[in-house]
Formats: sequence, structure tokens, C-alpha cells
Amino acid sequence: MEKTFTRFCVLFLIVFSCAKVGFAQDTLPFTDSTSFFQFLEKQQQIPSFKYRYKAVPKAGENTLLEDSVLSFSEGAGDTLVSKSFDDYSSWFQAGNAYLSQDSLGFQPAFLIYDVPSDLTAAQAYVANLWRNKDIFLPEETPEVGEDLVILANLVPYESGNNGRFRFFSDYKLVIVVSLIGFFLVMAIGMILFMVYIKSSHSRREALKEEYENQIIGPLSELLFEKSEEEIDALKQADIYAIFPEKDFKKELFKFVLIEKIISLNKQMKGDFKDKLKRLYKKFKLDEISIGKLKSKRWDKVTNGLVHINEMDLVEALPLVRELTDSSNFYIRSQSIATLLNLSEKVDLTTIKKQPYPLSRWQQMNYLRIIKYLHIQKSLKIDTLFSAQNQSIRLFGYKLVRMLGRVDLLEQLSELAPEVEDIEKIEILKTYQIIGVHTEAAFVNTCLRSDNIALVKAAARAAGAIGDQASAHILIELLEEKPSFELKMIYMDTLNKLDQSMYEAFVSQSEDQDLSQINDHLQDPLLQNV
Amino acid sequence: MKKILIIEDDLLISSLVQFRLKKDGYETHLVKDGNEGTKAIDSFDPDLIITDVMMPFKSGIEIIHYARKTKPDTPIIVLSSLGEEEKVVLEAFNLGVADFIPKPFNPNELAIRVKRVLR
Repeated sequence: MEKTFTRFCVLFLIVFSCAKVGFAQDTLPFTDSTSFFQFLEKQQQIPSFKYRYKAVPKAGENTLLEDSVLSFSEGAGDTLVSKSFDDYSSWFQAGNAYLSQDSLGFQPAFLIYDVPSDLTAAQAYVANLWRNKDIFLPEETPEVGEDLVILANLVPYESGNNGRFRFFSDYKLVIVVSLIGFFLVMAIGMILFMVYIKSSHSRREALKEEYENQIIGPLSELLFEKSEEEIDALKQADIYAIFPEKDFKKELFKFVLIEKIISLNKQMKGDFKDKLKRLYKKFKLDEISIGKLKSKRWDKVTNGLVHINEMDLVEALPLVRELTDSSNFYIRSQSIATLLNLSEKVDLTTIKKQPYPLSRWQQMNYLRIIKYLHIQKSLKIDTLFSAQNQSIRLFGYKLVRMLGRVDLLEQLSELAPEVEDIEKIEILKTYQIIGVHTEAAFVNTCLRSDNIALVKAAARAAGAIGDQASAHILIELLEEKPSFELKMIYMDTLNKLDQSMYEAFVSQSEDQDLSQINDHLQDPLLQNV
Repeated sequence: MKKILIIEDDLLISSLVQFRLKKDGYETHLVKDGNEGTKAIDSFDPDLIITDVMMPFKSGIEIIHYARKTKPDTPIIVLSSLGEEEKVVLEAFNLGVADFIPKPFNPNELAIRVKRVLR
């Protein structure tokens, strides 16, 4: 509401100022009586406006009454009034001779709509006509010398506007019309472009559907009727007998064929999967997938990587390896996933060399593959511990606990005291989950840290793998009156570590927070909240 | 000849299943969504229904509910990419489906299960 009012005020001011500018253009051409008479001289005749003279002669002065041009008649009192004139010149000439004679009391007078008016009223009337644009200053005809006229006659007449369209002389109109034209052309262009895109898209979709129907039958027949050896023995002529040659050579047909084979590969198992992979190569679709790796578009490259991964195209691995250092997140993630999936020897060196930080999404993606692979292949997870990239080292520690690699705990134990706090936290979580009771000393060291995040992680780990010393440290920490959140963690851990020490501490303490936390921990309904 | 209704939105999969079942001498009818599925249950009067779970318009669970009301004796096999422990699959079992085949699957294995259910 307030905004609308402000806008209204601004608009009003703009309109008002414009109006002011408009009035300012109508400046009067006369300011005093002298300039008024000069203006009247230029005008000569003014509608409903007449000129006359008024005189108050001294007693005995009868000259005026004898003037036949002015034809004075007696007015009110001693005043004499002349006849009225329509134009300035005849009026001025008729009375000019008397104006200098003071004894006559001679002065100009006016009639507006035949009503006698004084100078002020006459000025006001004329000014009003001027403002209403009922009268204008007459154009002055320039005096042209004879020589110039003669010279001008020598030059043959030629139109000044010859060859020029009158429209272009008004540049503002040209600009406005050009802008409207530009927007019109743009709008029409965009509509045409959208229609073209839509029609080509629907044409493509229709063609895809047609190809899909064309593919389903022969593909089913190949999968059920042919053995793997028979598929391997297929010749180009046999393929053209299955799919029409003119269609098979088309890019869109191959695109649909790739889509369908990959979709089936995801949903089939057993010998059908192997047959699909053989068909993929037989139809030379693998060349298309591998070719996509060289594309400049990241989506095409990623798409190619997905195909290679799905169809186990191991021959593309050298190219895939090159992409693991790509600056594009998706290419990098997919290439590493493909490499992990297809490599015979997966030693995680590719991940170790990654200069970019690993996102949680990437970690989850790799973990999904590694979880599946570590059953079949020997994975050297410990190589990740020595990575330059901290996020890779953290991922390595996570992998130890996710995969339950107890054999790597010794290495972790050696590393733990030397690494940064953030890594210590991850190692503590690993110790806590796996239940490494031998690392209680490390936990106790971390409990003494100045880093609150590390102390929290250590306190939580102490609940699972702590010892008597941990309990004593926790009591010391509680006596230092930490924040409520820390008190909660310490109390919970102490309760798990040594119940008798916990109860003794709570009974002696006068801290209200501790009593509340104790109530919470002892309540069977809130224990796990 | 036994009649089998296949309700599956993936045309490729349904065609492949149809191809395999035709080889075993069954009469098959394909539909690609839940709405068509319920209509086909009435019009085609199948001896066995093979249905996906996640489909347009009506889910596999709705199909099973409908089949249980109109054809309570017609066995149903669920073919789905959902895991066996998924809530909807457990619901399907509660409604009395004859079998559940998770994707990825082997069409030959499906043919054997169909044979067993129809025996």
C-alpha cells in the first residue's frame, strides 16, 4: 500500500513537472505597455478587439471634435471618445499627431467585444488569446535582394527531398518503428523456432517409437533362438537381414538400439546378459560408446562411460583411465566408478591420485562399487591412507569400518597419533564401530584435547572402547562445568563405562543440569532419545 | 490353451516375456498400464496375470486388489525391480500373489515359474 502511494506521488510529480514545462513554453511575447503596443503593431488585427482613443481636453479646446478621421463623440463627463478601428495601423496613424499634445489628455482605449476596456484589460485579453493559441506572431517575410533572386533563377529547380522518403526525416519515429519491428521479428522468429523444435522433436519421438517396434521382435528372436556362438558367427549380411540396412545405418536407429540393449541388460540375468553384450559388439555399438569418450560435451562423455560400464567394454579402460583426472565432477565420478567396476586389478590407486576433494555423493557411489568388489577382488584400501588429498584419506578410514577390515587396524593405530584432528575423529569413529578396545589410550589422549569436536568424538568412542582411566578423565571434564551438550555426552559415556562411578558422581554433584541429565538417562522411555 | 495377461509398462520387457511364453504355447495379451490392465482382466479373462508394481495410472497393488475382487481364483505373479523386502511387495504377498520375480530376471526362469503356477 505504502509502495503504491509512493509510486503515485512520483508519477504525480513527473506529470506535474511536465505540465510546468508545457506552460513555460507559452511565455508571453510582451511584458510591459511598450512591448504590448509593439505586439499589437505586429498583430494588426485581433479577433473581437478594437482600437480607439479617449481624450479629456482642457476647456475651450475643440480641435478634436473637428477631426473627421477620428470622429470624436462626447462620452461620460468631459471625456471624448473616437470611433473604433479594427486594425492597428489605421488607428495609430489617425491619432499619432495628437499623442504628443498634453493639453488634449489624449490616450489609447480599447473595445473588447464592443465593451470599453482599459490597457490592463486589453493586455489580459490579448494574453489569454496568446495562451490559447488563438493568435500567433505573423511570420516575417525575409527581404530578398534582387541579385539573389536572379542568381536563384539561374539554378534549375530540384526538390530538396529528392530520393528521400519523408518518413526518415523524423528520427524518433524511425527509432520507435525500428524497435517495434525488431520485437515483432524476434517474436515471430522465436515462435517459428519453437514450432520447428517441437515438430522435429515429435518427429524424432515418432521415429524412435517406430524403430523401437522394429527392434523388439528381431531382438527377442536373437536372444531366444540364437546361442552365444551363433551370435558371434553373425555376418554383416545376416545383420542386414535382421534389421533393414537403410535403417541400421542411421544414427537414431543405433541410438534406440543402444538404449534398448542397455535397458534389457539391466533387467536381464544369466546367459541373456552375455548374449546382449555379444550383440552389442556384433552391431558395433561399442565403437559408438567408446567414441563418445572423445566428445567435448560432458554429458556425452558420461553417457559413453555408463555404456562402457554397463556393457563391460574393458578395451576402453585406457581411455577411461585418462578421464579420471577430468575437471568435470560427473566425468571424474563415472570414470572412477567404471574403472573400479571393470579393472581386473583394483588397487584404488586411481582414487588415491585424485587431486579433487571427494564429495559425499562420490564417496557413496564408490562405496557401493567397492562393497560389491571387495568380495571378489583384493582391494588395497591402505593405499588411500597415504594419499595427499585429505578427503581421500578420510574415505580410506571410513572404508575400514564400512567393510570391517580389521586387518588394517594396526596401520591405523600407527597413523592415528600423527594425523590432523579431523582425521583422528574419523579414526575414532572407526574404532568405536569396530570396537577396538586396545585403543583406549588413544581415546584418553583425545579426551584431553583442546578441540571440542575431537573431545566429543573421543567421549562417544570411550563409551564403547574406553577404560577406567577414561572414566576418571570424564569425571574431571564434568567438574570443569562444560556446556550442556558436552555434559550430556560425558554423562552418557560415564554411565556406560562404570555405573557405580556414575552413580557416586551424580549423588555428590549439586549441578542441576547433571540431575536433569541423570533423570533423562535413567528414564527407560528416553534412554535412546 | 491357457491365457496369460501381461501388465508391464516397459514394452521391451513385456514383449520379451510374451515371446518366451508364446514359445511354450500360451495365449498372451499385453497391456502397458494399470487402467488397461483392469479392463483386460474383465475382457480377456486370463488364467494367469503377470504384473509389474510401479506403473502409470494404477499400481500393481491396485491391479491385485481388483483381480482379487473380480477373479479371486486367478493366480498372479509379480514382476518388479523392487526388492522382496519392500513394503509394497510384502503387501502383494499379503494379498495372496502366487509368486514374486525380482528384476533383473531370467525369462527362462519366469517360464518355469509360470508353468509351476498353472499346473
